[in-house]
Amino acid sequence: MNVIGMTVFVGLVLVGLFVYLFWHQARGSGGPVSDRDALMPLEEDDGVAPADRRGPGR
Amino acid sequence: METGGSKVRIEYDDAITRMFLIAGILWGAVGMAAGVFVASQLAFWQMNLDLSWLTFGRLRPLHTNAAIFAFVGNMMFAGIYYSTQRLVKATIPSRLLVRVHFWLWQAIIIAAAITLPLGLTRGKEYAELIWPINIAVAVAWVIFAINFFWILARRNEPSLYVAVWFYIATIVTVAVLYIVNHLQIPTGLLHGYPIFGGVQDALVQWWYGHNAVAFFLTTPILGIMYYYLPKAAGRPVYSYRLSVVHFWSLVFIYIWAGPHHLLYTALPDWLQSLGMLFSVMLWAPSWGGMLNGLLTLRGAWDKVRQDPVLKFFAAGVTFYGMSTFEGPLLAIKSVNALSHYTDWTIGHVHSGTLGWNGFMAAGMFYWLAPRLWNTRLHSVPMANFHFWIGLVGILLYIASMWVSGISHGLMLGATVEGGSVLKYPNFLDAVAANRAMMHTRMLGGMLYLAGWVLLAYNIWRTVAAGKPVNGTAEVFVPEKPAHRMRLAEALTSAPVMFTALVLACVFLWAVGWDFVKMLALLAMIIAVVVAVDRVEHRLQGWGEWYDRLLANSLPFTVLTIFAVLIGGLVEIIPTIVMHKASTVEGVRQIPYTPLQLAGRDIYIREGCYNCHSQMIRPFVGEVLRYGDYSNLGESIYDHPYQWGSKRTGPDLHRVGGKYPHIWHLRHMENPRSVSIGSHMPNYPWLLKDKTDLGSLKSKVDVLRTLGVPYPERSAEQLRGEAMAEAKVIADELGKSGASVEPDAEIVALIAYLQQLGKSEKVTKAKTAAATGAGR
Repeated sequence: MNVIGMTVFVGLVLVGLFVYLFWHQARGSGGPVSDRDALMPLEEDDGVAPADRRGPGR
Repeated sequence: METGGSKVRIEYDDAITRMFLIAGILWGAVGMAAGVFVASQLAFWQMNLDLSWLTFGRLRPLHTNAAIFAFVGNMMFAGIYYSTQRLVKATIPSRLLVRVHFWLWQAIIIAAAITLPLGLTRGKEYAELIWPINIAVAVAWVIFAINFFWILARRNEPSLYVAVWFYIATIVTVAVLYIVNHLQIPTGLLHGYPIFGGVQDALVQWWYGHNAVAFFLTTPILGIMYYYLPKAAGRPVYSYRLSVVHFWSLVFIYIWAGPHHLLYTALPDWLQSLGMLFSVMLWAPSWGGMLNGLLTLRGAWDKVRQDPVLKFFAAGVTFYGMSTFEGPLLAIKSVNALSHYTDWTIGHVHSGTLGWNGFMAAGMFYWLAPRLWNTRLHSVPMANFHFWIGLVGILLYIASMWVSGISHGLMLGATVEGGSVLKYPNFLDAVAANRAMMHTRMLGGMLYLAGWVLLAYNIWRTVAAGKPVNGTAEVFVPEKPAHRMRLAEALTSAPVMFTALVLACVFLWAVGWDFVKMLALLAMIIAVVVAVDRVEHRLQGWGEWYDRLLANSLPFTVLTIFAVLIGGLVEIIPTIVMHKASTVEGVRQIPYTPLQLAGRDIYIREGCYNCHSQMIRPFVGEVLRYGDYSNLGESIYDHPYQWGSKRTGPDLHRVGGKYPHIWHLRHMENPRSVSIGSHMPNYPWLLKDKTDLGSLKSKVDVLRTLGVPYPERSAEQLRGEAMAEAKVIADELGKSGASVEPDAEIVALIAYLQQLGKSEKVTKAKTAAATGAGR
């Protein structure tokens, strides 16, 4: 019986938390974690150099 | 923000990516070919060819090690070196050191390919390589870490992109896992015993084994997904914030799930429950990552039809989702009761390696090759054909393993007459029923391998048509680093403190007494509410804190290590520090005689653990079939433990005394002579080769150091004891009509097999006496 009560309690806490966070997100006041970083992979190399035996460098 | 700086042009070192790419393709073909070959051995026992170095028990570790460390390892290094340089806008600092990394890794693979077929093994899954190679792996990994963090130290882009976070987690976690699970004491140049034994060894092994999947086959590939998928799709990742949640929850939760490989075994129940609980929790972050990957393709699905790269990525990420759904499912105890020891697990693993790792590798190689050689892919239709033939291969493979695994589990557990009699008392009934599935699995593997050969040809032609080039970029070099954050500042920041507080409360709630439990629960609720309140009102500050953390690789790495290590520490330390001899549940293993020990090392050398378990679970079907269920104390002196993970053949824990010596000799010489329909290989060499009795002294000495209660004996005494026991067995075999020398390996192996399941009852007084030596 204790297990069922605890499961229901923890479940309700989690549901409440998720509903609150969803409402918060939907309200459009999301955090400022830098979305700019998401663009990093899209940056292309601006050229190529023939690979030689000495290897690359600055 | 940057206060000043200059622009410079850099040239990336792409030669190292080319080297790892080619190695990845070649070793991928080798690993897959080995897989098809061992699959053919399961379908046709004749494929073992009566050659010791080609038997299933020795080649299966070669296949798994080649697939994991040679194929995915090389693929991972190629992907990481290429993407990290571009993400942090810095080139590789030491051209020499990355090449040392490359060649050392290839030397390790070749050493593994030589030693495993020779039977030089540690007898632990995915950790079979012997100690000199273990040291080389550790050195290679450290060199990799130096190269990687050196690039980060010279970066011109302050902020670390999500792919780099996954690479960091991979590097630090694999180092910890590998070192701990390979702690051992050498008995000679090519052999050693792990320092952990029995249940401790089992727990450490699956903490490592499960997280080898997590941090060698998953986190680096997730990093690759976060870089190459947006690149190929031409659009940013669906949700960068979701990737933050994905990363931290995944690396924290994954490490706890290892014990799900030991459900219903003699492992303490609290560990089994933790393993199951955290496995189920893994569903959420895994699917968060999968959805983040798939939704990155929103608006680009039309490209998937044409572009083989996106096809492979989309299917690879989907397989990630499917296998991370199936994994937690199999970790639920009631499902695991059916699936464990069967082909269902094998199918699950292959949906991950073939579908997730293999397809992500193919997509990345097809994307990289034209860029690294400055040309076009030789044939897009051929790459598309590879995709379809590979996909059909995977589906045939995993579907046949579902059918085989479920039917195997159901048949072996089935009882009649109110659960008092086995419905299928002959183990081979289940083997015969799944023969067609073995053929289907082999066909699926062949199709997948054929696809890989097409990839190798396609990329070879691409390389032949182009010229190797290095990418160049103009980058901004800031005068001084921005956003500096000290380690102490990071560790004492509000988000970290709140997280630590909540974890402490959860811990107290789990282990405390009633009053403490309630207090911890209350404190946890208050902490969560306050944290949510702060997220609401101080969001700007917390977001900025995380942005600053991303610009500081040392605090980021340290926090990652903390997140990863918590689970391992909680699960492993209590088991390791316990007094082995005092926790044997009334039954204790009798230490092996010298001859039995020599026989056990032959058992391990032949890889018998690949097909036979030594752990009977407490189920009616198992107890009726194999005998009383296995206790914790019955393997405490086993270095390494041999509980196994798969029953291609029956469990052997209580096989001792079940058959006469002559039965074992005939069975090893030709299994079908006493067991009609068996698909076990012949082991004719065991009747001719001589048992290694010369190394007994060093082996017994090492085991005594590890806590096995052996008295001090000289090499001559040990040899004399072994030969005396061997002569008794050989004489009995002679009376039964088989003439073998007492020092033949088969005699030592019979001595070991006939001892299995023998133990002594332990009274409290005996336990107290044993605790002095039994750590």
